[in-house]
Amino acid sequence: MDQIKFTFQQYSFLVIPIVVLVVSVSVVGLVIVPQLLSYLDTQKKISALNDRSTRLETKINDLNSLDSDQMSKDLQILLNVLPTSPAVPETVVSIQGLMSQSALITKNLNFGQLKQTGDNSSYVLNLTALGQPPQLGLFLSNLDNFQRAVTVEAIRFSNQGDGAEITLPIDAYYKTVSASKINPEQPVAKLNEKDKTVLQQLYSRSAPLVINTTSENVSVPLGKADPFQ
Amino acid sequence: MNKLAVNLLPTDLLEEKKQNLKFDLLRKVSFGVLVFVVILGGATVALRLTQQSALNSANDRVSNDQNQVLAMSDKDSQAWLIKDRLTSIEGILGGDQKRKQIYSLIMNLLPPGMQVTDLSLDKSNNLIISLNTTSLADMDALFHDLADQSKNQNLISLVDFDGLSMGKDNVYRFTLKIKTN
Repeated sequence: MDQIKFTFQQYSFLVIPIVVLVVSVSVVGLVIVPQLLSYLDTQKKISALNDRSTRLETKINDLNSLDSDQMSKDLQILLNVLPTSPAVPETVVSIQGLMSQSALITKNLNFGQLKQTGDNSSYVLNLTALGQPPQLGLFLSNLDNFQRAVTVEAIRFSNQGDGAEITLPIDAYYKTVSASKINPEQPVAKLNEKDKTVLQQLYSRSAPLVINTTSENVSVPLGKADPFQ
Repeated sequence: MNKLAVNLLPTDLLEEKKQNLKFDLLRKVSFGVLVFVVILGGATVALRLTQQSALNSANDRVSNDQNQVLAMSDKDSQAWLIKDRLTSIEGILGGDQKRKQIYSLIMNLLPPGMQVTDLSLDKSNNLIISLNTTSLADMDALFHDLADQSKNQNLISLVDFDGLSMGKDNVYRFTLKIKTN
């Protein structure tokens, strides 16, 4: 016992440094190092959040700068040019109107099956008409100002004694609205100079066809006020 | 005035005093290290707490911004829809421009006395045209214009002359196969 006591007294001066060392290593290992490591990790998170916030604020500013009324008008024009559905009757009526403007006589107008071309859908309108090359030229020129997005796939003209016949397969395009949700993080879709020019051209195209219906008041003889008289 | 200093303490005591001074220094250094480590630990904890507050603040800001963006999602969708439709329309509209240009060019180059009996302009913009004329000069003028780059707008790469005939009515009938650039 005395031996132990003697040894303790001999090395008692080392007790405090050893305790300090153990405590220091524990504090450094269990507190300081983990806190510093997570500090760096959190700093990255804060930086990422700040970047995200900057992007979102830019988007908010961009969205605030957009003119809702103008956008509605633009969209209306674009939906006339490239509708969400085939709108076959409207297109047929419009093309017939364009043909009569170009002095072509419609012989036959039928539409083929629906096609999928990339993102867009289309169907073929097979147009057969009577007319001469200059009138066909006028029709093609008028098509440049047509309110629908259409392309002439081929041009055939035949003048065989019994009259000049023109055959034009015309692709009429439409595009359904995709159901995909817009990611709020993605920047606002902005129009570039080319887009703006095309949009102006579309505005200058002829106004969309409006089919007016007239209602007339028809007077029908109602007979006697009292039918038992 | 000179001072006389005489150390009368025994040597053992002096040694013990020296030893105690060393132990004292060791204890002081140990306490110093302990205090330093505790302060450092406290500082890192305080830093983390401040950082946590900055993190919460950044999260709140992002969440607030997201709500603002979501509140304008209709506008966002409209802008996206406009861009998407315009891109599609731009892709569609130029599709037949060359075909129309070729047709218009050929009609402009045809001399007034020349009649088209058949014309076929296909999807690859290759043109086959059958023509009637009573004038060889008109034919000559047409060939010249078709071959002249200043008049053919550099649209024509090859003209294949095919099947020339002349009927009893003195009308020349011929077919041209035109390849475009």
